[in-house]
Amino acid sequence: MSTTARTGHGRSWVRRIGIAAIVAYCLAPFYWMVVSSLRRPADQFSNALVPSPVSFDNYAAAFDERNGFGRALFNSLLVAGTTTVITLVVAISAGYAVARLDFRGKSLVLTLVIACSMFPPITMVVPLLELFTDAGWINTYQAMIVPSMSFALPLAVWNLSAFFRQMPAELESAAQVDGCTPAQAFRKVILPLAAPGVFTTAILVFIMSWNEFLIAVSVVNERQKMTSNVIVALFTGQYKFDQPFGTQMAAGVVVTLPLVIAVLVFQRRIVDGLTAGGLK
Amino acid sequence: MGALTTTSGARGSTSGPLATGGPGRGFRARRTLLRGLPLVPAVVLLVVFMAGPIGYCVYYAFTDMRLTGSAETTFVGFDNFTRALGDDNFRNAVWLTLVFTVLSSIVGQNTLGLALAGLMRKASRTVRGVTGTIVIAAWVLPEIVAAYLLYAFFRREGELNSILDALGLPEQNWLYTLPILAVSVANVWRGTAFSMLIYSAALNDVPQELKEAAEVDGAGRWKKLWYVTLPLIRRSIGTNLMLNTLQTLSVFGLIYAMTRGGPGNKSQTLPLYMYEQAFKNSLIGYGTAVALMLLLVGALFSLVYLRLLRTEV
Repeated sequence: MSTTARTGHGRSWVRRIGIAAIVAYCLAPFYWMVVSSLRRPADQFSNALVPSPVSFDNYAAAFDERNGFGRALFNSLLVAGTTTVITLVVAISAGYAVARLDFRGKSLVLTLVIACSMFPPITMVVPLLELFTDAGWINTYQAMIVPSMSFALPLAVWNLSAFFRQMPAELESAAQVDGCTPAQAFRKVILPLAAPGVFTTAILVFIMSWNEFLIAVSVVNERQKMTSNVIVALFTGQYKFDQPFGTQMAAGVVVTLPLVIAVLVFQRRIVDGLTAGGLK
Repeated sequence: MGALTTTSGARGSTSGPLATGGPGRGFRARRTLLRGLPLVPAVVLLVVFMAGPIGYCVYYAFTDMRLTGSAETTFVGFDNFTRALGDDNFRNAVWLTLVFTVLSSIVGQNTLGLALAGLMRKASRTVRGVTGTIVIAAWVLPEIVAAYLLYAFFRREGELNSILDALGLPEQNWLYTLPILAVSVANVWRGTAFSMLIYSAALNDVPQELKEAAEVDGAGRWKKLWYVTLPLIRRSIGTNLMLNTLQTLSVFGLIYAMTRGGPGNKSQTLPLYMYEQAFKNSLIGYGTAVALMLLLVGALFSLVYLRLLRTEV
């Protein structure tokens, strides 16, 4: 009895050290980002664990007029926000159809959706660029929004159909017995109940499109229209010889903060959404 | 069971009045159309902005198309492919892509995710919450920001060298000597969360009785893991490996921001090679052929995993 207790105790120590090591490994870069952003620009190569004196110069530099970083944040918000709203509308109707309705060609549609989600975005850059050049969409918001939508759509449809399938079909039957049309039954009964699932999917889609880089860097070359990711990436290009390391880190903190807050608040929901999408 | 039959009956009767047109073929076709209607926007979007571009990509790959567009585009058959196979830089990119994928996805993200999920099972609620948040936060970080963070970690004056220095170990300029290792570690750091989540869900479904039975039979920890747990979560392992691999094969922004594929081409994986050929050297046809071969690599990996999923225990 005492031996098992002791080995259990020993194991829990191993486990704690293991967890501590992994946490440190995951946390260190974050910590370093925050610390580096709070140093004075002159101290940017210092490796002190705590910045002294603390300075917000890097943040001021990141938001310097010439960088257009503030404008870029607005662009990111606009692109990611619009993408999220439209993707959800499209995905809710498709997800519901996949979960509930039987029709010919359903499995074909599903196969198409999965197959599309597995293609590397890099294969689509060239054709999309051609398409947008012909359509006059270069340097427009829709050139970033529409590809983001199609990248996020497979995941969104997957997740939402998983949520819809969990709901008993009796709900619609009952509503239809009470005189609702199928469309009304969906709008008045199912949709309010599916709100948590819709919300989870919204967070995931927003994160995906907020982070989109490849298309955004390819279809826009006007500073006014660039998203924050692209602007942050340009910080290096512009000052090749004097890398504004602290400025990059400060911009990194600003770009990441909304996402980290979203994770802190909605962790449970994000986890549910991801596992539903990954496993079903 | 009874309730189920009743509902299906009720459903049948609600659709009954609708079916007054009789079971004619025209009616059924119309009903199929009507029911498919909610899918139309999604399908249109995917066809026009995904399947379409992929189709064009296949077409471009067999032409000598250039970015400048002034020159005539002609059909060149398999020229782009044979040229790639004979090119040292292409072969280097394929090799580095394989190293990057095996190191960071199959070994790194997958194993670390499983280990973390296992460790977290017995941890306290607080520890689980905190660890989960940090790991997921790394996952939602924009690629570019993650790249700068890890760049800071690996650069000559970076933390890794400070740590090595403090431990009395020799320093290195990691991004020059072992850039592919540096970007692999960066990808592991970024992508572990997903594996962890999948494995946490899978481990929850392993019946406790089976493990206890194995314990009664005298199985140790590793035997239990190897003979009981791993076979039971085989499907999750397959799914996770497939998703991770496909994700890793298409990593672009992370490497682009950390090393630009360099120094030289020492960290130039296929997506970066493709980007350089298509946009810097404006060889659109050749670049898309490279992209297609990247697809082929992904398909080969997928086939292996699908076999893994299908094998019976």
